[in-house]
Amino acid sequence: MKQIVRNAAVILALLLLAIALLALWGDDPTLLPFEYEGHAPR
Amino acid sequence: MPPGERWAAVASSVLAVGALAGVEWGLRLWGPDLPSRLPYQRLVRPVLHKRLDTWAVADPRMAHQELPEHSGLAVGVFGGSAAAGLGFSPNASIARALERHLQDTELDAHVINFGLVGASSREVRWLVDDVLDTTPLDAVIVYTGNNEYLELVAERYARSQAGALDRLRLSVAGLRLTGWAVEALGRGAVPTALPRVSGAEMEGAVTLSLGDHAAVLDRYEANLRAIAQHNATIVFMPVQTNPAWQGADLRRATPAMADGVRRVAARTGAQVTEPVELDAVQSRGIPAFYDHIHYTPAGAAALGAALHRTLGGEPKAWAVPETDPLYVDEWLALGDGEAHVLDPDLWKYSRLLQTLDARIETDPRDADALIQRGNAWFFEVDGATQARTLWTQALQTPLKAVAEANLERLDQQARSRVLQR
Repeated sequence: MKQIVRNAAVILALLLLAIALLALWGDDPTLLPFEYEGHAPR
Repeated sequence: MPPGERWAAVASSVLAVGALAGVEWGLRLWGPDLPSRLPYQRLVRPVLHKRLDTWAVADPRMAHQELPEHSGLAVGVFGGSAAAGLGFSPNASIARALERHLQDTELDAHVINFGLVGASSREVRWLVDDVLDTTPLDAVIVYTGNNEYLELVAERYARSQAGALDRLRLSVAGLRLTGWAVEALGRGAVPTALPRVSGAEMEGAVTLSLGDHAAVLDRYEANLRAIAQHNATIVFMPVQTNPAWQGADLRRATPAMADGVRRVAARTGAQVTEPVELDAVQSRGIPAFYDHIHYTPAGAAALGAALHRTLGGEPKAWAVPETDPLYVDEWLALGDGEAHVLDPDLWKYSRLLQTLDARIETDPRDADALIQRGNAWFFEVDGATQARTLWTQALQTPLKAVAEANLERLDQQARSRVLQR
C-alpha cells in the first residue's frame, strides 16, 4: 500500500511538472489560438 | 510485469489522477476566477493611474479620460462595446450623453467611460472592483450582457476544430490548474496576428446544452451581485437588442439575462434603468441602433437621458446635429452622413480615421480633416501631442477659429494639471 501511495505521489508530481512546463513554455498556453472577427480593429 | 505489480501500477495511476482531479474540482468550486482565454477580454490593471491630482485611464483601448481626485460628482459607466460607444467618437457614448445632462446642473460632474469592447460581466466586475479600490465613485452604471457566451463558444469551437493531440493540449490548457499555474508562474506572451473567425462560424460549429445556458446565467447573476455589493449608487441596465435587426443571432442580451438583472437588483437594492422603447427612438431620422446591439449617437443619447432620470435629473432634449460639430467636446465622428452612421461595420471609426489620414496626405491644408483627425488624437491615451500638431496646422486654414478653440481646450487640460501641482 505504501508503495502504491509513493508511486502515486511520483506520478502526481510528474503531472504537475508537465502542467508547470506547459504554463512556462512559449506563448500563454491558456489563450485560445484565434479571435472573433470583429473584436479587434481591422 | 507480474499481475500484482500491474495492479499496483494501475492503482497508483488512478490515485494520482484522482488527486489531480480533486485539486482541479476544488479550484473550480472554491478557487478564484481566472482571466479569459480570449486575449481581447484581458484587462490592463490597474485601470487608473495617477497624474498629479488626477486619475487617468491607463488602458489604451479606452479613450483618454481624466477624473480629478476631488470632483463634484464622479460616475463610471461600465460594460462592453455597446456601452463603450463603438463606432463613433467618445462624445457619442452613453457616458458622454449622461455627462452632458449632469453638467447642466453640476458643472464639476465627470462621467468616465469604462466600456471595453468584448468585455463580459466578469471583466466588468473586475473593472468595477479595480476602479473602486483606487478611487470612490458616486454612481456605477452597468450595461453588460452582450458578451457572456464569447469565451464558452470559442472554447467549444477550438475543440471542434482540433485533432486528437491538439484536443488533449486544449484540455490541459483549459484546466483551472493550468490557468492557476500560468497566473502563479507568470503569463507568456499574447501571440500577435491571431487568425480571425466570424462569430456566426463559431456559433454554427457549437451546440450548447440547457445546462450551459443555465451556467452562463448563474455566472452572470453572480457577477452582478458582486458588483452590487460596492458602496456606491449602483444602476443596472438590462441589455437591449435591435428589434429591426435581421442578422445572425449571436446569443447576446437574452431575455433571461434581462430578468436576471432585475432579479439581482431586487435582491441587492441596486437601481434599474429600464429599457427605453428604442425602436421608437429616432433623432433626425437616425434610429437607435446601427446593428443588432450597438447604438447610434441617437440611441446613446436616449440611454443617457434615461440614466439621468434614474439619478433624479430632468434631462433636456438633445438631437443628433445635422452636421458633425468640429469642436472637440462635441465631435461625434458621423463621417459623411447617414450611410456611415448606419453602416453595421463595427470598425467604421478606425476606417474613418484612415480616410482622414489619406485626405491629409493628399492635401496637408484640408482643414476639416486636420480638425477631425486632431479630435480623434485628443481622445487617444497619450495622443495630445499629435492633436496639437494637427490643430496647429489647421490655424492656417479657414477653420482657424475651431482650431484655436480646440487648442485652448488642450491647454486648459494641461493647465488644470499644472494648477493641481
